[in-house]
Amino acid sequence: MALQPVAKLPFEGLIADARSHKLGKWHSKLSERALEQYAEIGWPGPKTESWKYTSLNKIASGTFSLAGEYSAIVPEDMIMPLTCPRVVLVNGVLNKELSNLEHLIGNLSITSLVDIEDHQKTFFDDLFKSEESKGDLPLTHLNTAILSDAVMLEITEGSKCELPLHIISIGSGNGITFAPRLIVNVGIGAKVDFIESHVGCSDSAYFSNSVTQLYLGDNSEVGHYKLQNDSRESSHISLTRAVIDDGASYDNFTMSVGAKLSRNEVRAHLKGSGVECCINGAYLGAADQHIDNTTFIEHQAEGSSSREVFKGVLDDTARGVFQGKILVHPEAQKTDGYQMNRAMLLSDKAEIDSKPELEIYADDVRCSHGATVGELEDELIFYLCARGIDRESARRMLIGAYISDAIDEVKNIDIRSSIQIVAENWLKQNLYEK
Amino acid sequence: MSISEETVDQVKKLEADKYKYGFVTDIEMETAPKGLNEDIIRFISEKKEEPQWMLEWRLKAYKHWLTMEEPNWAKVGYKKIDYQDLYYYAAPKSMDRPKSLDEVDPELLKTYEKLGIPLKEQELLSGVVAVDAVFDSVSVATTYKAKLTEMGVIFCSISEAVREYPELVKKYLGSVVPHSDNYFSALNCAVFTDGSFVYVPKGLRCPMELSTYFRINAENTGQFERTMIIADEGSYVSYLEGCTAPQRDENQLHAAVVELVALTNAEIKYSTVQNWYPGDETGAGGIYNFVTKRGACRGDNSKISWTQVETGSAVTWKYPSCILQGDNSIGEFYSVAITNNAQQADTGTKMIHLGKNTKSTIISKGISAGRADNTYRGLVKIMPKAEGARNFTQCDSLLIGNTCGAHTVPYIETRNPTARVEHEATTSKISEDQMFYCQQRGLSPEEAVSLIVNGFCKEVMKELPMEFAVEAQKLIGISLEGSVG
Repeated sequence: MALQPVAKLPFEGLIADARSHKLGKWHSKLSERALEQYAEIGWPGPKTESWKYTSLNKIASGTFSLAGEYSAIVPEDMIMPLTCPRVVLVNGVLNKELSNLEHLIGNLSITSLVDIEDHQKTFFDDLFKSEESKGDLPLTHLNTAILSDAVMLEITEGSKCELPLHIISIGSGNGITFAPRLIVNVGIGAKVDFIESHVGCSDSAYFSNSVTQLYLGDNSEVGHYKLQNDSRESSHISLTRAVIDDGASYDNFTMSVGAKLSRNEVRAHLKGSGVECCINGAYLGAADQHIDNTTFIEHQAEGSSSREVFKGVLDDTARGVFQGKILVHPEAQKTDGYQMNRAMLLSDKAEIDSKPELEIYADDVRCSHGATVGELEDELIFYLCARGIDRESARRMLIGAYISDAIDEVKNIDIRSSIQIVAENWLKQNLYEK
Repeated sequence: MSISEETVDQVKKLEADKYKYGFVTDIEMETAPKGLNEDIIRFISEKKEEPQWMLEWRLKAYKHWLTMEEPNWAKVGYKKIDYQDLYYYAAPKSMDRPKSLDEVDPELLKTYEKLGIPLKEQELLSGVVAVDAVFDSVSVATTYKAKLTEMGVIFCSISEAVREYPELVKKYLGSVVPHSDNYFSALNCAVFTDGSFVYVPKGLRCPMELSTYFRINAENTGQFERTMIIADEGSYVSYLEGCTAPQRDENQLHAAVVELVALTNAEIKYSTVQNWYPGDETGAGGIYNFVTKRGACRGDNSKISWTQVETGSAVTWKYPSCILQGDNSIGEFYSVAITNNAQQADTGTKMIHLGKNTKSTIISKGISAGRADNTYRGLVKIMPKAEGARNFTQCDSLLIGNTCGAHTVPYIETRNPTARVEHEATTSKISEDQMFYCQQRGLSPEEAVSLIVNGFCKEVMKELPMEFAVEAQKLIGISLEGSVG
């Protein structure tokens, strides 16, 4: 049998271009290493188990160029409606003019990779190294290889941030790709809430390959909320990786409503014991949207708990994917893990694929998962109609309540109501008034 | 406390009970040369006096098999199988198609006696089970044949069916599990040597349980049996399958295919107690059990129900499935899988909903002890035309000790909004309270575990026919011996 031709590695050509970027020589080395790893793993294909339900063929076969110089305005109606300090990235690069950091308190620092001093480079080097040799994350290596900036938030030990911080990543331009990179380092006992809004300038079509890394020190408390509202013709592939130490609490929620193709992958590594970890989300899909939520929770030490609740509503030919895995190491006795994925299909062409997975090596654990799929139940509508509510209002009420159920998992009340507003607006535009 | 006599006795009993089917029967065997090639397939086909079309089908499968790769996605690890180092045909020599039981080698009959199979037709006895016994690769004897034939039920070995009922076999063979389906089933298609064939005619409710006992005896042989059950319109049949093998150091391969076809209003109930030799405590030896089982609910209102108790085998790779084609058809899967010592099991089911108002139920209980790994892997797929489809899945895992693993990998794919799919899974351990409660009432730790595990599996055990339920309960106790204390 003839040897199969070696598949072309998508974006390989762009990586060389990225090296001549303003990050200079230092990034070149980093990029070379990342390319090596990316090339070794290769582009995820249909046989890659973790990409079974989400095909990246369209991205691989598309023509993209690196995002160049850019200017943009913040699309206020697309981001999470919140009044708080902002960090704005345009095509993955920190934009100081659009950012508004006056209200920031002293113990929270923001560093852009473009500005770092030589002595800070070793720190970043180590940080990126810790991400290397992750055999199953080719797109993360691609992110490292082509990044044009990275933003690091540091919260010093013991400090409590009253106001949340809003990180807005804007995609602007057609046929471009960029790699937003966010690093969040939370000191021991510190407390912070931050939001990521991923949005695009109207009718832009781009590929955003975003990576967020978090380090949660002992007993820290972090709320991490994300709105994915990229422009409808775009692709959004993101990875969030959180390493969590003893006694820390991590509350993650992702609202996915935008992009044509999106994947929100969250990996939480519960290194310490007594960790409380929540990874929740809601997704709303219409037209030909494809929304993938993939989570991985790794219990490495004793006595931690994790909770996952995902809910979605899918209309038209939209397709939802949920893959959730809980891994419990032999040392992680007394683990408490809960996972639930529910989806509602509103059209006979919509599709949902779920794969909730448990891999357990400790005996004294309580782990459960559940998944349900169904349509809007006639009985519920009848109940409301019997009370004088017209059919359409009843339907809206039930769909709204279905999604609210997941949004209620968000711990920060202000942010919870902002997410609620986003969901309501989406339902209005895509379901009720279409 | 010194070791009391009772303890010594207990231990002795344990040793003996550990794998009571681990004996070898010494009878003359006729084997084909080791290895696999077209000539071996021709040899098998000739031995079986098969028609040309059968041989061609085998060769087609073999050619396809050569292009395939052994699957590696299951969560099991095992030594690579050298397919050229196996015997693909081993038959007890003395019996070239016995006409009656008198012609069967007495050694063989003794073996079956040890296994507790009521092989002798003693119609006065209350035994209501018709048995087809497959020894290594050849069907030895089928009991109650006359009585069944009278009613129009065909229950014979598949090689006999190929000769006697070629039209039926031709029509259904490979229609549920095609020759190209997967690596192990393709291998089976090429080299299968025997198995059972059942045809239940229209409107008949088969009055007795049909049963097959499979036994691998010879060294280095693979057992490749093929079972086929066709339930014609409005009929019902319940079929039991039991498996044992002698204790050996090396691994033996078992790659069977089971095809079920249920036509309109028909129902098939298929129960398995799988107790192949699991290997010893260190993981040496044992059977590789790579089985493809699939049923097609072809007609409306048909029903296929799989019940399995899996306690044996070193490595299990098995997913009894239902293809729900007919409207209102029902698929069920009840499973208990127990792994101890170094056993590995990757088992589950597939429920493919195609017809309207199709229903499926999956109840899976996995118990893992020692250093074993136990995985449930299942697929529920609702196709766009399956209006009103309904699925309920429950997978519970029980871990005994912290050196074993329990895993759940369900795939749920829904493409119809009217479908209702529910999936639940839990993992837990036997609590100290439960153990204390039982021991306080005078049960030994072993007995307590057996009792608790039997309770954990009750939902599945109650689906087993009476004849099997008692044996299965005992098996569960034996499989878990040595896992506590």
